[in-house]
Amino acid sequence: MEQVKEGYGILQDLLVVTATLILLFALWHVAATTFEKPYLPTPAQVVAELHKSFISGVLVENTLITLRRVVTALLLALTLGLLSGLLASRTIIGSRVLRPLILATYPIPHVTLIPILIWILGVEWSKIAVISIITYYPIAISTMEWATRTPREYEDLVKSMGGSKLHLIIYVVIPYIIPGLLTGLRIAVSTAYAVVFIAESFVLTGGLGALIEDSWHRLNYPAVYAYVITLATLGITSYTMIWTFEKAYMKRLT
Amino acid sequence: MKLYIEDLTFKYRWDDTYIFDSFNHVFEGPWLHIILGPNGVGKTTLLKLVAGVLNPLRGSISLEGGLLGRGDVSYVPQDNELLPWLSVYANVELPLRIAGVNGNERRLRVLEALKSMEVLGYANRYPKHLSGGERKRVALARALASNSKIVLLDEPTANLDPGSRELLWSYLKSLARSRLILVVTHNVGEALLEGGLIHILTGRPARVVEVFEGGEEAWSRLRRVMGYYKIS
Repeated sequence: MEQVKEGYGILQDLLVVTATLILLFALWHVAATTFEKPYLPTPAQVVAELHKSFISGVLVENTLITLRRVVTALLLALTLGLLSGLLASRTIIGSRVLRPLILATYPIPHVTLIPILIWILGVEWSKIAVISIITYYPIAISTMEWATRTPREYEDLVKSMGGSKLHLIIYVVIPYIIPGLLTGLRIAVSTAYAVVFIAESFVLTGGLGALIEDSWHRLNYPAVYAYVITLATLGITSYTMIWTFEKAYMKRLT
Repeated sequence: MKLYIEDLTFKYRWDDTYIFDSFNHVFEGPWLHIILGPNGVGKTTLLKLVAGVLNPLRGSISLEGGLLGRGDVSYVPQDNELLPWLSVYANVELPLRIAGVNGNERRLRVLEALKSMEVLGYANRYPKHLSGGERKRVALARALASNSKIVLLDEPTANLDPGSRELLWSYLKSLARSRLILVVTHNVGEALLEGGLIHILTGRPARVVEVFEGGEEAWSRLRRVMGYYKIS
């Protein structure tokens, strides 16, 4: 019964999303044909631009560049965020030194580091680094907060089996913090696509952000729309993927 | 085998009275021991001390002269007796993994334990899909698979219906033929009825005031046992 209901739910969701999108495009079309401004091309013009870019290979090539940067940065942020979050919450030195350091450096506007990072790391790695730095915080902070409240009973259980500190981390802390970690990652991912635009439009070395910036200077209005839509689609897709995984994990536990 | 508790002294940091002060007691096994006493007397604390979850301020807990080692004790807390993110199979396997038992032997021992507690059919389920009684049986299977000599259970029948209660006691009794089992409960009637060796724990600091065989004739002691609840 549950299965059937769920299938129906997904179908319904899809229907709502499709209907909303059609309505949005229709409104856009009406607005574009009514006002006839160069900065508001019709959906058809944007789709034609997307098609052209796809055929020439520019779209795929630059989407892959952006994806590679975002994924590398997120993997770095996830590794460092998880490790330092665990250290900051599960060790005495960590909670005295690392925890205040993480919390104190969190409100810095890290995007402003881009020019300095370019000097230190070069053009390519500065882009990855700035995304990593910004996405590190939601991951590290949610790890830190969740890892300090692991249920005592589960830890006692592993301790009574003679488990070491490492066993505690593997069998209690990590499984317990996964929902928090996924929430942190979800926030991190949506931020990552915003930051990648800023990073890629600073010094143009490929990527969707560079394409947007470049098309903007050439006053190629449909192209700007086309690449913004591509970047947005990437963001929405990643976010939804993590959210689905998160829901599936929670369903198994509670 | 004998479990010696010698000179055990313990107090919680936030508490200013000692739960145990030079507490001495011996549990002989294999046998079923039921520790009976009012709430807050230190029954759960005693189990946690034996399980190695809490450390005593002073004193020792030893098994036949040697200190308790890894895997000697299997602890079944009152709630959350299984890790919710591991399947039934993985829960039973956990102490064996921690002890570093090799894969093949691990598999055999887990399957055998699941079979003897009649929970083999639930091997791939997660704890939330089990009833209270089934979860306790899986926890017993875990104790069985780990070959621990001592099994500690905290209020194992607290949230079970009468049928599951009876079933659990029968499993406990059969397990008590080969292991030393300590069950903590404040359910006087159940303890007296089910038999085993009953230890009455009372006072602060806690002490064992009586030890006697449970079973039918123990009912005559009911009035006296209830008296201890009024003292503390």
